[in-house]
Amino acid sequence: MKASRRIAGGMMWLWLGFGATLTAARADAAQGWLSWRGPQQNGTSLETGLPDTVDPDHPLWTADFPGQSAPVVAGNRVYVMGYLGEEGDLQEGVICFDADTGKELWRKLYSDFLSDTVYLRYGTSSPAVDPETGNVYIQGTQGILAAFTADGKELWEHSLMEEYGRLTFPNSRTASPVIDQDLVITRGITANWGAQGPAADRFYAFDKRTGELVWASTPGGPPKDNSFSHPQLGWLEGKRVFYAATGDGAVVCVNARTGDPLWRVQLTKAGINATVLVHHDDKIISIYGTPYEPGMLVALKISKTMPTNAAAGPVLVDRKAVQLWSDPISTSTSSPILVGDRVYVVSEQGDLCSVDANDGKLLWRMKLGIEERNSCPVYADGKIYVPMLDDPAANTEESGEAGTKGALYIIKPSDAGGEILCHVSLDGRCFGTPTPYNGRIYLQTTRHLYCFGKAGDSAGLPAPVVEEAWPAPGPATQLQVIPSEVLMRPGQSVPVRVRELDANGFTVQDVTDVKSVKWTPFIPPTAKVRSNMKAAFNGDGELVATGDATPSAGAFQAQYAGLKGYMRGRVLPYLPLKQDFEWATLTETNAADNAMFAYPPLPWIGARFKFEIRDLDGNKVLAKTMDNAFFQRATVFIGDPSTRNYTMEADVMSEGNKRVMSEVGLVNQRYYIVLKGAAKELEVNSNLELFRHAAPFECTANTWYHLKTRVDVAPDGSGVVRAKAWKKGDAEPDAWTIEVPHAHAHQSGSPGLFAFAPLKRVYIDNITVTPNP
Amino acid sequence: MKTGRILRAKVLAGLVAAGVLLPGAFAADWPRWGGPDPGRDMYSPARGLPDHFNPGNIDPNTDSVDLTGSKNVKWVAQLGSQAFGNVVVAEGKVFIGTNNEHPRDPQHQGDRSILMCFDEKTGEFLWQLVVPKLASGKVNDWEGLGLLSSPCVESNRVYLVTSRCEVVCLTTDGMAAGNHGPFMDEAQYVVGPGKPKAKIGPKDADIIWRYDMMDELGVFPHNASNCSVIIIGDIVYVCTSNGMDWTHSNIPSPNAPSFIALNKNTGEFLGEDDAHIGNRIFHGQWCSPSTGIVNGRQLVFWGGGDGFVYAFDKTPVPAGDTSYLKKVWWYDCNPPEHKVDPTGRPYKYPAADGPSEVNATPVFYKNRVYVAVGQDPEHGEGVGNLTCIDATQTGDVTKTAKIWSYDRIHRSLSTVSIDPDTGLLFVGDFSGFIHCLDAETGQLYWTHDMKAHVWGSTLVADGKVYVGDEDGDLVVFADSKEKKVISTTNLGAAIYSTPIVANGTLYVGTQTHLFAFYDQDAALKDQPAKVDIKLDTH
Repeated sequence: MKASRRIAGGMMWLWLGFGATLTAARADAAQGWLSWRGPQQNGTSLETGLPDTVDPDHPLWTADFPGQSAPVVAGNRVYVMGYLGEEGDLQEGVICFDADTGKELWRKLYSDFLSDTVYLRYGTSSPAVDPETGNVYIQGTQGILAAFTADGKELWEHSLMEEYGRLTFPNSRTASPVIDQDLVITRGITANWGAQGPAADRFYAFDKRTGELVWASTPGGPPKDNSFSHPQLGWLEGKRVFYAATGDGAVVCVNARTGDPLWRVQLTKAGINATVLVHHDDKIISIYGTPYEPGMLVALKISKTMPTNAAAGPVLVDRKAVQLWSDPISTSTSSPILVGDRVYVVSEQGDLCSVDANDGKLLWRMKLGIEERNSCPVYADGKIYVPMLDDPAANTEESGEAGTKGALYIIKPSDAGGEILCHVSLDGRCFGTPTPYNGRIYLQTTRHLYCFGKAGDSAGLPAPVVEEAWPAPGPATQLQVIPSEVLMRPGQSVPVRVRELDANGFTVQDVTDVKSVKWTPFIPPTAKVRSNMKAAFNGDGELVATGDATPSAGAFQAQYAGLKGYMRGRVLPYLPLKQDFEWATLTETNAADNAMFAYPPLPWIGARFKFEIRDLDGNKVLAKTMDNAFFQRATVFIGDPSTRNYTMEADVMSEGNKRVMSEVGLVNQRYYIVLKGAAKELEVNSNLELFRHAAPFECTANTWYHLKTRVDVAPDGSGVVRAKAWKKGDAEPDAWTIEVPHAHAHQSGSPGLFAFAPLKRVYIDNITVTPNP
Repeated sequence: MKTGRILRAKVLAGLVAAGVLLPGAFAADWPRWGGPDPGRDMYSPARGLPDHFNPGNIDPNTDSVDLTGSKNVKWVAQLGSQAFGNVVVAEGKVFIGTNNEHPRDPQHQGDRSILMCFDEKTGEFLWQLVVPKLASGKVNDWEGLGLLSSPCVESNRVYLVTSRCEVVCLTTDGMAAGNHGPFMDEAQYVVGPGKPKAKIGPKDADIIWRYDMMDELGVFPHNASNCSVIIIGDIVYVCTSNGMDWTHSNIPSPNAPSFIALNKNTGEFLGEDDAHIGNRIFHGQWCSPSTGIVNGRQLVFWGGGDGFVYAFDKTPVPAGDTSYLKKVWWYDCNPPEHKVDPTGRPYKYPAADGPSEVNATPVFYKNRVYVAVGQDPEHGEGVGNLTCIDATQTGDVTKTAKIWSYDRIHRSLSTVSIDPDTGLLFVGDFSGFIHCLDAETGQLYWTHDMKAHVWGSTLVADGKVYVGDEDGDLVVFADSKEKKVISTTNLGAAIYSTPIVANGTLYVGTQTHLFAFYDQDAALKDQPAKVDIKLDTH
């Protein structure tokens, strides 16, 4: 009962009995197919009058905007992720089209940076439109999370990679944001700092208007895979929650207001990418598997067991205790949809399957292709629109089109089977999911965005969505501090808000009496590094960083009216930065080789357990760890992502021999500058496939070299990346070893460090970052 | 065909001493990938093979098999949950690689790569090699894939590549016959470095020697190491699987060799390829070599991660601080139209229309080498090419040695089968098509759409063509110019491996089970006593 509902046209307000008191329901300002799964959150539409057939030769319109996204539609505007350009000029982002004509209304594109994205796997997420404001939210494969007005005015932006340690993956599967009232919720695998330093599949909620972080949530353990399983919002035991599958192979339930993980059910040893379904509010239907090992379609009774307190972590629910049924249907990345009591899903091997949601019985399956990847069916108007990765009809020995054509099937299902109404070949493979809205079907391939159907409004549009009322809050039991994490510079101040929440996480009221909030530095009992942020609260509820140029990190506890809440943050100095590690006291012992070490500075993102400060010949240096091969590759951010036009230098060295050396380098304004000993090159790259340039550089193992790199950006947005290297102690050469122009240059970016040391250890020392003259 | 192992060993030893090797001397065994033929033609002269099957019923929850109602099943062995390794049968034993989803030894729980050894007659489990996973994870050793290499069995020794990028030599008898050295620390090996040692028992493998290609040569395997090695005389030839790193764009170890030679008795490094492929690798390297004698010279054929087939002289030549396997000829299997688009712009790997590497095994047959190009299944479908190369030339033979090529095949992982009696060539592709051509001319006779990805290869034997697909269908065709499907049987799990035949029994490995199929009535008739394959090693 707690999903958004639609009501008959004339009946604009619907009151639902929930709790003792209700807040008013709201007619949404923006109507349409506003998020990846649509208004029902399960891939189904209530609209009628959608096409039985489509003709790729005569679409309503097409746009040359390739990608793997599912468009979202708000009124007469279509928003979709995708990419344009090639090589170093390729940019990914969102374009807004006029739904009737396909005319482009606005675009916001970003250059990729520091990512592992390969094979043009861009535009893998969908935008989300806020029903209340019509604002648009996107997440790019490189971790840019951004908010826009419907007209394309940017409201705020985060670089999740540089601010929260979000990792990228060659599969590039990227979460589509979810709007829940005032929050925009997204997810990613992050390796941040402190308690959030170990890599985990985390959810993040930002204030949709301000972009402030409201909560971060870690419901699981070490991830096995990236996941873009889309959170499904719902209600459980009076709490606003979401259900999602995770990169560590579980289904989790998380309090959507606080981020508190409520429970998790471990399903498999691999990550799960498919989005879960909620059937009859009493069961979760989840599908998992890998391309190489079939998994299952399972139904799990929704557990109502709640954790005793947030610190205890989620309740670990035994799968056997809640599994209602299973069916040996498997997908690795494609999600099922739910139509009443029927689950439809395209299996990994390309079979469209119909399953009874009540008992898991397979009703029928029909082979439509031989493989499905990422894309999912949608249901509307009695038909299932099924995209297929490759069109089997295009793969015959005559055509030679293997791998370049996708397919769209339109299938009329019954419990006896599916009737194919239409099967067409599309230009480009289909990783995206179709969007049905206003009499039209939108579908993006790796070559085009297609819009099929008729112009003008459809008479079959369903009634506007009215979000049901939320329960009135109970008594306050806790505080929520916003932002829950900050990145500051010395002397800077940040306003901090405090809310009273009830036991379920609903806002009781904002604390207006900021002077009465008591703030105390807080060190979590589990902290490996006991550290405080060099900052303090003033009487106006602002956190003010001291002028101290030493990087610092820590947390604060807020107390008000007997309630508690927490926030944490970092203070990173302005340029110039200097780091020689000589301050460190080596008190820790590495279990693998008994070497003494100290942890790298706490506010550095992604550093701990990948680097250690060690003594090398009487000199304290940053040494790449070798004891955990899983961390053989490391990128560390040591600064603020708004830093721009600077020069970075460091001494670097790789152990090795004639045949084998490791890679070591720096990050300057979203460009890697890497000394590649085995290849004898100095390389500048930002995404290895798109922007990569190298110059020969003779270097030998076990020898210190000095790296120097500088990025200059011109007013027109272009830039030049320069780098040089020389043997430490030699005179600096006049010429740059490599100079690389970039038309869409990165305008800013955190300074950082890089190492890739699978077999031989590398070292970094004497880091400086100075503003360009 | 029932000759005892001791007698076989004596005969084999005598042949080797005489300088003549009959590879897999008792040719009704299938002693290595490709069977008796070191040219690796997926063909067997066996007769009396079954062509209709009923595998019984497999419980999807426990993977247990109920053989009630089964047809032509000799025995079934449960494997792990993934089994990409191809079956080898030699000296009364059956070997297959899999993972550890159903642990045979309770000491070893969780993801491991496993080589299982079964009794050929009964399917009884005899022993296993347990290989711990590399700590670096999927970048070097993708989780769950299990052991991918098909062992090469010779004279009571088993040679294979592990998922840790090692070459190992085992005894065929396992620890039940004692721990033979020089390698003695199996108790540590099976759990991995730094872990408390395991208790070794008679059902563990006996490792003779081990060569770690990562430690010794700096090899960086991309996702998986899989080579099915080939042996000539005292030398083992191995693809190192050196490739890209996690980024799929960077070769971390460009100076590591792609193809090496080791002493089969000691594991000592003897030489590396002089092709210097490191910087040209598209992605990974997963080709297994074959060998044959061309104009009296024994060549080793191998396909690189750069899309070339290389023919190396078998003898390493010292040069500086290493020794090289010298290229005799090399051939670019990617035709020009797969390199640039019609406007002249280079295709970017792994574009569907663009170039591929060689994953299939080059098959040497009558002075020709047959091989198709393909890619990691992760890359999906794309254009392919099957080439018939004249193996008698030298140098860069790309422009001169093409006898024919066939471009209606798609990307393929499959090794060809050629029936020497009919001259028909069969090959599968990743888009799910089986192609029947004239091996001499490349003329197409027929194709068949399996409607599922095909990873493994065809087997031609007894006038039939056997092939499995990702849907788990085992399809039997008539070995003829006219397409005829004799039977289709679903074996309950994806078939990624290649059917093989040994001593009258057909073996088909699915992801979860190894089936030994045997038609007793048919097998009693018309079995060839021995296959006449001679290989002059002078």
